Amino acid sequence: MSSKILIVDDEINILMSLEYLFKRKGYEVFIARNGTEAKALVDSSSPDLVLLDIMMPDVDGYEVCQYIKAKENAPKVIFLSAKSKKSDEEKGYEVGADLYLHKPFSNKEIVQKIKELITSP
Amino acid sequence: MFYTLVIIGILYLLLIFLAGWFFERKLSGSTFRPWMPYVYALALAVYCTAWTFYGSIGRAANSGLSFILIYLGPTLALFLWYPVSKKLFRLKNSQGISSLADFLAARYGKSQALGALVAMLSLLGILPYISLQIKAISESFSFLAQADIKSSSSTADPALYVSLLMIVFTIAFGTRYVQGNRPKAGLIGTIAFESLFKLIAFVVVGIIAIKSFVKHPQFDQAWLNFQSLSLDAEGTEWMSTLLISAFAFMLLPRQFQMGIVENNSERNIAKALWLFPLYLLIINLFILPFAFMGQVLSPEVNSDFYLLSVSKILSGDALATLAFLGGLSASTSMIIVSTLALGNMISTYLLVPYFAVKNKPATKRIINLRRLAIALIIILAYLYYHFIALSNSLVSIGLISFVAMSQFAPAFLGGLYWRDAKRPAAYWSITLGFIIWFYFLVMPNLAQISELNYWLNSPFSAANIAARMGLSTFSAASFLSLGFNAILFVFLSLRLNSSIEEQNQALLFVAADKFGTKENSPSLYRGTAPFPNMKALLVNFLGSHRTEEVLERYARLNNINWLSSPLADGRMITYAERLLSETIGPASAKIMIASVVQKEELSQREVLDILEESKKVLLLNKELSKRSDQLKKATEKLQEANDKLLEFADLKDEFLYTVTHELRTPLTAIRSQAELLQDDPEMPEADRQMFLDNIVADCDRLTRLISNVLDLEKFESGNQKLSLTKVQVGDLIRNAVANYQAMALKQGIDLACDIDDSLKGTYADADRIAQVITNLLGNALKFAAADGGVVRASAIQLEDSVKVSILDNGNGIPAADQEIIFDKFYQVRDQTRRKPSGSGLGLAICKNIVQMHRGKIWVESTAKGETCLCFTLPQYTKNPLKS
Repeated sequence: MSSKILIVDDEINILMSLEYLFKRKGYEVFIARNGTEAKALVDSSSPDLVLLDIMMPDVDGYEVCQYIKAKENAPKVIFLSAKSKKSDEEKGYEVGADLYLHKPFSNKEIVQKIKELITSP
Repeated sequence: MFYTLVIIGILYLLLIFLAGWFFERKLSGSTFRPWMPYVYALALAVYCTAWTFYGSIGRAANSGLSFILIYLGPTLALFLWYPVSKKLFRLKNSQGISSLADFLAARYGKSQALGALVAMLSLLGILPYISLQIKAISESFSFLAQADIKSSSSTADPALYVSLLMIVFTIAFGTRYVQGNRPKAGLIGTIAFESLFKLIAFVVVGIIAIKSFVKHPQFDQAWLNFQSLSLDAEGTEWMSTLLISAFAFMLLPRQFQMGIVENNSERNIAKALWLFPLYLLIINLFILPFAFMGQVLSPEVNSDFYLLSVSKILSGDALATLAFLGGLSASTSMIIVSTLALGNMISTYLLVPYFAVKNKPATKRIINLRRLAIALIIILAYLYYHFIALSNSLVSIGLISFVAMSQFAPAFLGGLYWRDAKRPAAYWSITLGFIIWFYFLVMPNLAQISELNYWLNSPFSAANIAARMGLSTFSAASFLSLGFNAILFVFLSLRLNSSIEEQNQALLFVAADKFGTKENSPSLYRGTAPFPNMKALLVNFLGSHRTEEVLERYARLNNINWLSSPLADGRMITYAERLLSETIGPASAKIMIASVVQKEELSQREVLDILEESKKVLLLNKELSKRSDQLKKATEKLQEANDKLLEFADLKDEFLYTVTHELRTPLTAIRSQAELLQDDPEMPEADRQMFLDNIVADCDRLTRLISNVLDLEKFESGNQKLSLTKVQVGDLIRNAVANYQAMALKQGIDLACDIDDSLKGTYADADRIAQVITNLLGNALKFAAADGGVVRASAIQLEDSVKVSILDNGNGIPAADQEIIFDKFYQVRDQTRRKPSGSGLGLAICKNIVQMHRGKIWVESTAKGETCLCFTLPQYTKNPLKS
């Protein structure tokens, strides 16, 4: 059974690009355009990993992450953000993220990191 | 009458104790600080004793105006007293001086022997004077009670009980602190109170007596007597009295105590310059009237008691009792202060060195010895009064004391102003002066008592020598004793050499007003002492609490950490010596310090250098504190500017941070999609086309963002210039609406414009205003309701401006945000939220453009809940830039 990835971003172009990428790598992909959608999808489809943007129009990424990490058997969370301050990254880890990656990213790097995270116990 | 007087007397003495208790608690606080100069001047009036109350009237009755001299002397001497007091006040603090004996001992090389000499001679000179006060109390009491109490039995004499109470009072309020030179609020307050009381008593008694005497049948007789008042007087008698009383005013133990030791501030001295003579003037107003009233009303009475007899005859017992109380207050204040001053000298020089110095801890011992000395002095004075007949009148005994104290004048003034004054000179000249004093003023009394007639009749007797000189015994005694004293003093000072220690002290004293006081006085010690030894020494004499206090203060003022530097340096040693000096006198303090410090002698040259340095440091300190004030102000200004800059920098950082974020977002999409295209050559054509389109759109977005940032930068740095032309705003709106019409149709939005026909043209930058309208329209289209969206652009003519409104029926803008939507990236307020789209700079640019045109831009909410962004442009009929 293939692993499930939820991608959350309000930038439609980024969303489409990542969806295409991971589908081709054989993952089962869900997408959400805002925090509220993301929460609902986490509940309904229990992904193994969430790729999470921070700046979104309704609920921000930190809050979504806390919501995710409060669940039993919580999926891994990777923040994917253009927020570049050291303090942004620290806050990301504080709310329970497994990884904080900066935008712009390289597709190869993300694929690599996700492989490491999902196969690790 | 006897018992009435006893009760009233007791009540008055109780009042003094109450006053002492009250002032001790209240006067030391800051509430009374403005009153201290007045308290000080009143306390100086301890100069007026029972002598003023009784003796002056007697003297006026017998020898006319000459009584006034002993008040004129101090008044004239105030010009000398003023600088002397200021200098002494500084020395009191910098040298730890608490009596005249301390002053002379410290000045002449911290000499124990000189201090002891001064203490003993003061006691000798003042003791009869104190017993004179006791006598005045006793006799005035007897006179009013009409009972010869003294000879009946000693336990019935009220003077005994007053004396005992004076011991209690002086001990209670005069020996509170182990430091002799520390001002005692209870003491100075009470003395000031007594001075005020005796002044008021004298004035009240005087006014009432004169008022009733004017109608008296014998008034004319007294008036005749007054007109024939003899103004003739021996010039020499006047001179000697003026001179002696001037010196006495400075040197009497009670004046030194009140004027120097109890003074707590230099500024008190200046005020006393006119308050004290005023006091003397008022209290002397009634002396002559009483003398003349007494002569006609009660010629049979001893003239010293005219005040009592006259007030009794004219107004009865009540007024006489008030007069008695005035005399009592004058006597008691003199007894208290004189005894305290003498007690300090006697204990410091005759008791402490033998009974206290080796004790540990010595603090309690020192105070107890001082108390013992006080009790002894009053008891001695009482016994002197009781057993030795005081045959002389009140005035003459007082004057004998005055001449005695004047013997210190050459050594005192020389010590203050003449660097060459030497210790043996002081020692021997004082001794010589006292011998002459004794021979002329004491011997005749003793000879009379012991009936040494052959001496009284010999050509060498005081009276005969004086007669040969054509002077009174008093004048001869004054001139001869002071003259030989001063000559010997100058002669010996010029002939003798002095120790280096004494030379150093001479320098410090003569130049006292050039140096600071207390902690910053120059140090003349070289060498160090182990700090623990120094501290142990201080604890022994000051007690551990006070020691901690002073050391802590010293360390704080001089930035010293005792733990890290356990060696006391020269300045600390000087400071410690001063502290010790306050409690045990300068001579003993020197010996004590020498026991812990291995001291090196400094040469006179070195001392001069140190003093010069100290003077410079003082000047430098003043200059430095001025500079430091200026620097402080400058620093504050810099800090302010810096804060502002930091604020700007923060804003700039915030802006850059947001811009970076906004740039990264499209870049991310571009990069990710480009990578997909690169890695997947077999991508279906449709997908490939979609990603390529997206990349182009993201590139456009990047371009827009960059040009917006540059635009904004131009506006904010002031580099953007407007080119004003005649503009029809209506046309600009119509154009913009036409440009958006296709897009609106696609989104199903009803877009229309509504232009006021009366719109006049105005001057504006057409391109920039078109940019504002386009921007606002773009926003409105974005936010209009998704279903059945409506956007309206309208313009109306106002009196002096054109108002443009762009309205949409979207969700509206929360009231709290309506002010800040024109800020750059207004989502900054809530970093993690964002408006649906846009660069976040559009409205900020609009605001800048409108404001450059001197217009306004704002948000309005209509009644239907629609949002309306409005701006105005001022109405110009000609180009405002070309006027």
